[in-house]
Amino acid sequence: MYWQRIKSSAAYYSFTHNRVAMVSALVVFIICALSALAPIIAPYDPWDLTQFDIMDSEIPPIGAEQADERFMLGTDAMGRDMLSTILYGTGISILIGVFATLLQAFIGITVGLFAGYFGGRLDSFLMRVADVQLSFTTLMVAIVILAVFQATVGLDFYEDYAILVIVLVIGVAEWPQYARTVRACVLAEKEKEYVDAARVIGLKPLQIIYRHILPNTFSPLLVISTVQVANAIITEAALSFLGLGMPVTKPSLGSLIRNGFEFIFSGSWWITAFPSLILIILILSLNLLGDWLRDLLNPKMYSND
Amino acid sequence: MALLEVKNLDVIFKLRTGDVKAIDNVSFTLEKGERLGIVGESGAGKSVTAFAILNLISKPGKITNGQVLFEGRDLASLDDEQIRDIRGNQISMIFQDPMMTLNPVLTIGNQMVECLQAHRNISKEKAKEIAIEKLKAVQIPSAETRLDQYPHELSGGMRQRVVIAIALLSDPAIIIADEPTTALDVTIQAEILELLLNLCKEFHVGLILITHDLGVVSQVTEKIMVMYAGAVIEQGPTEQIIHQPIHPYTQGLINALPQQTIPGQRLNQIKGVMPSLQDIPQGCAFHPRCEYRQEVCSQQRPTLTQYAERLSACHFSQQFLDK
Repeated sequence: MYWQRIKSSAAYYSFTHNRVAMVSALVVFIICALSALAPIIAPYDPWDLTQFDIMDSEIPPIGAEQADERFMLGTDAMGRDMLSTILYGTGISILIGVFATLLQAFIGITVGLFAGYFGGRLDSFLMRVADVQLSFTTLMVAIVILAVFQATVGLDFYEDYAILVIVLVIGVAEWPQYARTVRACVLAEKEKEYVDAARVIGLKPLQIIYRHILPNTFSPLLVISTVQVANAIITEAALSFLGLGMPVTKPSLGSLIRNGFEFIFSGSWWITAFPSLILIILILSLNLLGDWLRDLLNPKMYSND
Repeated sequence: MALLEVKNLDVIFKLRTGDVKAIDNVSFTLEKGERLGIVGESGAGKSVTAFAILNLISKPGKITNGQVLFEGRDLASLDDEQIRDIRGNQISMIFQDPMMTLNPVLTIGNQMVECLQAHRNISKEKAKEIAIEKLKAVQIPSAETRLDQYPHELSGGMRQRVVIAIALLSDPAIIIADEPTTALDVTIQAEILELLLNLCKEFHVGLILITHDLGVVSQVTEKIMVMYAGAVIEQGPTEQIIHQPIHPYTQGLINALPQQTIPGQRLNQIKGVMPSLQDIPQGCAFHPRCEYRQEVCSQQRPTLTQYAERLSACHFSQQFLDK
């Protein structure tokens, strides 16, 4: 029955008639699936120091001279299999992107709902906090916090909790995006009669906010969520590239790019090229998906197809 | 003791340009099972009166004077928790546009269950049973399947029936209907009105019907209160007011009904527009538009005076009565 509903919906129609959306969804799905299955399908475990040999370092990918059949995409400077490392690293990048976005959404939605619904001083206060937060760029906040954190707890400890800290930092730095969107929606929604009707029924403010107003703000939230996941992944990659993100022992796509960057002029282009390619494809697909969603959910915008 | 007694109610909206008196000294009573119509032009203060009863006047507005006594308790002085227990439980409200009053993203069933659970400690299954029973009471076919539908899947008339069913959910003592048929087409208007009338009689529910359509009021209500520029100008039993209005404004409203016009002639209308609440004219608020106006009308404001069973605020009501 739900399948029927989905099949007859406008979203399904638009999706099946939009090749860009279908291809990018497919790409995102494949990348997610492969990285989720990494422990099963990857030929080596890049996190296990015993599985690679420094003698295998900088072997080029198949097709080049001196290639080794064991390593399809070649190896990095430590002799790690690039294919396995990329599979694991993509998983870490996506994980950070999704959880950082969830955290942003949680903080931002809560702040936005309360600011928008109650208005007045609470609204001014919360939105000024958001403005202050936005006046620091995400990277700046992240660099400061991560540098201080690494310096105080030491690298060993940091390596164990890197994912958690990065999620926290990116989540906290970007919540105003959500807060602003939600607040704008709430301001429009709370003037509608169904909110009056809910008050007349005798519902409590919290019930009205979460049960009645929140679901009506979902469409713009869906759109910014896809973009925010992509942004969070990029931010993480940038941080890792600067050496403040994921440690080399558990690399994300960003740390892999940084790893290979040192060797790019010595001819070992593959260490940087393959992770970069995956990162670009993943971000591009997510953004295209976001574009499609925005076109679909915003009937005011003119679209050609 | 009357079920609902509104005494000398004043509502003031504080705006940048100054205070605006949206409701000026409004008083009326409603007995158990009685049906009252509040009539007036847009901006006369009808809806504000309704919101004031439920203490739902929001920010720039405030009840500055008067009482709303429901079963002897003053609703204007209750705290949030206590007033929530009255809203939707003992006094419920129906709005103009059923497309807007139902939440577009929640199913009918969800919205009904939520309303019941807000006031009573009952299980979801029990709440659904009551919901189905009420949907049947408003003559909605295949009520069970409606519970899983969204508002946009129903027609306008059907939606207003759902809204009425929601208003009936907790067997209220009073239903306030704020222009319940304005957004519907004419054939459905009549059906909905008849339904509302029958339900009120059947369940012995008091009704406050707010409308600008005297035709609608005359079919449904027992009493009428006519408002102009925030104040009551005439009040009394429906039949007397419809047949022999003693305030020129009410007379004008009745003459403006299309049924009063001879085919081929222009429709009658009251010339001019209602004054803005920010500059109500001196004396009688209606005098610039009144065809019977005299010197006294622009100087002295007429008080609401008792004439047998009704009240009227006009210097010449006695003369109209004697005619």
